[in-house]
Amino acid sequence: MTEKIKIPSDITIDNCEKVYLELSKAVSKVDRVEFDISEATLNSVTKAVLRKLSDAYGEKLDIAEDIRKEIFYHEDEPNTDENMPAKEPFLESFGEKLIKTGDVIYYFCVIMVDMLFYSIESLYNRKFILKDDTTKNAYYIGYKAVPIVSLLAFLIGFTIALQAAIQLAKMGGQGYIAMMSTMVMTKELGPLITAIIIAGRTGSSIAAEIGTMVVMEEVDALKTMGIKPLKFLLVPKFWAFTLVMPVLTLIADIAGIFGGFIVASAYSIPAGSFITQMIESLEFADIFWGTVKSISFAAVILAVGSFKGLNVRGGADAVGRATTESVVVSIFLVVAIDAIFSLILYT
Amino acid sequence: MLRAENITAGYGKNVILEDISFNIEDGERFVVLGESGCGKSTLMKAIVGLNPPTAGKIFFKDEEIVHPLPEDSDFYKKIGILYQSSALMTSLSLEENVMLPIIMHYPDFDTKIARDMADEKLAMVNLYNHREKYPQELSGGMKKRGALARALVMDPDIIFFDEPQAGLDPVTARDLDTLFIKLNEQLKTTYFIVTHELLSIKRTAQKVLMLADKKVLFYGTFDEAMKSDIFKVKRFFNVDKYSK
Repeated sequence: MTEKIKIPSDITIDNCEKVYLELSKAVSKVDRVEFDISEATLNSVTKAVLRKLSDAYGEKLDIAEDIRKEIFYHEDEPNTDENMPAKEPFLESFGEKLIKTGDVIYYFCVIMVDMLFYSIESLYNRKFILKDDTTKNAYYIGYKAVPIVSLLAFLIGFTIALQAAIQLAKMGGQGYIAMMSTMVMTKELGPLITAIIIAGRTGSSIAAEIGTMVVMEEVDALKTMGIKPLKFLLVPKFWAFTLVMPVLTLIADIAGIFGGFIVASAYSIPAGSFITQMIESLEFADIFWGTVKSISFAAVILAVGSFKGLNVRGGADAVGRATTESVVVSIFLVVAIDAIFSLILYT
Repeated sequence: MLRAENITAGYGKNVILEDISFNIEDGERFVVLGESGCGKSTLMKAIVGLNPPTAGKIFFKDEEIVHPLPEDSDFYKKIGILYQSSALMTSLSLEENVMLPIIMHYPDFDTKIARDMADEKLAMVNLYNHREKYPQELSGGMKKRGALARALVMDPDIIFFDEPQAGLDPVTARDLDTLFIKLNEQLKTTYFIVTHELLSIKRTAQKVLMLADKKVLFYGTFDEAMKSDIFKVKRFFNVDKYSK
């Protein structure tokens, strides 16, 4: 015998689970069920509850055709074997991934080479370069970064000197703080800290800027005005980076050594003695290679930021992803290049 | 002015357009229309080289255009494009945006003259008084007019319009159409307009190319299109009458 179950009129998101349990209990007690929806409001929650009941007790339910039409929906296009994408064999998908990775590396190298080529070309051919763009970029990349670079380098120099001083003091070697601070900052940490800060600060903004330009069709507009986007966008930034990175690195060196000086003062080392030892430890080669490193880091940060920005496809979320990825990849490459430099220079 | 012969275009393995041919005369307002996703913008991108065709030939002033173009090609100096998003550089003022094509191609050109040329075009689109503003300070319609001034600044032979009415209210859209027609009649510049805005098509089109199912569904004058017996063409122009 078919039992009629009344569907309540007040099913909402808040009470739907409770109502489902009650209805479910009622349905499970009888052999056949017919829904009475005369008082029910067929809102989306009510329809979802009815569909869930139908899934669970389908064979017991007698649902009139007009109600069925109201409650159930069908997908746009039923999935058949023909329109389901075939699963790719492992080797094929692995090969495809390898090719894609190769393409990414190739495209990155193209950007790097083009950037260097156009930058050198720009020395005698100013076509596609906006006047004052290098100065503007140098201001934002360099001058605006001075406070954060010097503050962080100072704090890192201070912390490292402090840790070293504690250990050196045990052996009565506090006098070596100046030498240690100078060597650590000029050989290693000065260029590295600067590059990491710039990768986070400027690399990300380059990726976001170029990515947004891609989304807003500005890069397409440049292409169809006959302007080379790489030259227009990257060359001023490259020269700005090349000019400011060595200066920022030098500022980081000085700030870090100053951090060491503060620690040394706390250990009663006279300023004169600190400065003498610092000058004795300073080597021209360290400053020179620090400059070379900083320029290489700059080129990598710029190329990664541009590469990620130019490859943005989609909208705001894609710009956000490109920004994050540019920082991660830039920092990884900076550290890797630094390790290679260390291997070459100090072994 | 512009001729396409059997163009095929798409993205990777996904073919969007097949065997598209048409011919645009000097000074003509040529409208490419069709439902969303039919490949209108793909056709425009194929012609201007943003997504070059995989087959077929394009002739511009009887000269074949093969993308990527050689360094010394003048093609991009002879065309102007108005993008759906206007695509004005946000870091530059309106005047600098309009000057951009000139100072990029001719870095030694007198800036004063370039500025004057840009100001003339800005006056043509009624934006002279806003020339120092940045794109983010302008309304949608003003941005479109600014982009039109930039497209006009090199005195192009043809201007491509990608959905010029997108995102505009009917009044601004009508004003923009009136401006397009006025400048077309004044400058005799050829127009290649990609749109699906019915009112705009009715106002501006002289010749139409309708795309459907990757192919050319209709190609002819606007009057012929209005009298066409092809169901999809009839439905496009009388959507309420012929839709379920």
